[in-house]
Amino acid sequence: MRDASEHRDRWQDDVAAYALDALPPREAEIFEAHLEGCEACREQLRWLTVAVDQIPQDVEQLPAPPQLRDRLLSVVDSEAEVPRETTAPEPAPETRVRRLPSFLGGFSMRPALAGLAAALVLVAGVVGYQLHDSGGDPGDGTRTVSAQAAKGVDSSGALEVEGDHGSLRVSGMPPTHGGDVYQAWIQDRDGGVHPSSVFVVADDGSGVVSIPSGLDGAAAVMVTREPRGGSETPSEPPLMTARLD
Amino acid sequence: MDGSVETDPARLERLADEELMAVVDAKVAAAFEVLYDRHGAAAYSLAYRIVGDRNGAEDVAQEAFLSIWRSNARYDRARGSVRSWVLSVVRNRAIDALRRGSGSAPKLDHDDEMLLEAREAEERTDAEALRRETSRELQGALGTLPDDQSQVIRLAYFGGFSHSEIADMLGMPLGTVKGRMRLGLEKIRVQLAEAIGPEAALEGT
Repeated sequence: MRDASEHRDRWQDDVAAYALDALPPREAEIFEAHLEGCEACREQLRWLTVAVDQIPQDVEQLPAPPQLRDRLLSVVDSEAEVPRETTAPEPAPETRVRRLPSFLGGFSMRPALAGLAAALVLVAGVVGYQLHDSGGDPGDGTRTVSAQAAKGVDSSGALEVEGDHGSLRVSGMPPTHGGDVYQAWIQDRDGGVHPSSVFVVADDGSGVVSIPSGLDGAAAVMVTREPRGGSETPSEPPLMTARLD
Repeated sequence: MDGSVETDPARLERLADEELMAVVDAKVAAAFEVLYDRHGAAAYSLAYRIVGDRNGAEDVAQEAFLSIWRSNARYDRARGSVRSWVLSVVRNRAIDALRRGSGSAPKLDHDDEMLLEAREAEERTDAEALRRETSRELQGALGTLPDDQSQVIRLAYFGGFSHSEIADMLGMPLGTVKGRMRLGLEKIRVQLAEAIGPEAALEGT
């Protein structure tokens, strides 16, 4: 007990300062040396880093200047192994609506259904759960979990899980507001919620989103509507939840 | 991806960020375009928040994205989401720019404190930073913290100050500053776990 107490007294505040990049260089070196041999501090650092990552999410969001995009893409095209084949249309200046390439034609994001988000209440629970083997790889089973929509949302979803990754197929999703996107979230068994993929849906509310990692040991996958680019923490109660436990 | 690299723009648009990064690393310009369109505004906004003027923010965001493109900054899944990683690259570049004293003029906006800062800002001083981080209206996670905790966290994150510099600025013991940082971050972290409401909290955990 005494050792644990001494350890806590000595290092616990340094973890937070380190996570904030607020340790002077020499102290940071000492802490990093300690970190190498201390799982407790590594775990605490991982835990607090999630909080640090939240800080920039609170910054007032501004549209990036169009010329920044133009300059970057000009440099990137000149250095790319695979340059862009077609010149993208100029983004409308000062717009907050996400510019969608023409190839996504049908996937417009028209403002609609205002006021829906705030009224949503999560209803957790798995509607259906089944196991089946994937045809091409009989030894490596996938399972499909049905997602439950929140009250007032007439959507459905099916999460196909294979090991640590999977894909979520949704239908009947409400249209997003201008510039908004849908985002998948992974909830771990400790209750922590981690951001996953951002996606858009077609006019008919259908879409598929890949969940590239994080499903091994996850408790649930959820979907929320988020501002353009996605968020670090959910901005609203989930529209849809697929429970894995 | 079995060795083949996705280059079709429509499919790139649908890739998760983590998958997209692998294609960016393969120097596919269309993948970078998607990455920028997803995170460019957030990156620019954070740079602007830190350096305080549009030109400086643009330079910082450009440096950050080019370092990502040129693989000088490598994405590590263990570090968190791509968004968090991009913003950490931006934050580091922005703090570097501040420390270099890039000479950019502070932004002018409706914030009285910022105007005050603009008038006095021939060079960046600790006092200005202190005033800015003390007065700024807060929303989101930081806004839920007691002022003394959010202040030290903002000075560190947005100002790039070390804990000892902050202790000097505030005239308080180093241990107090570090303690407030820890308490503040812990509170944010707990709130994140609760962010989606009690209905979604898992039973049995």
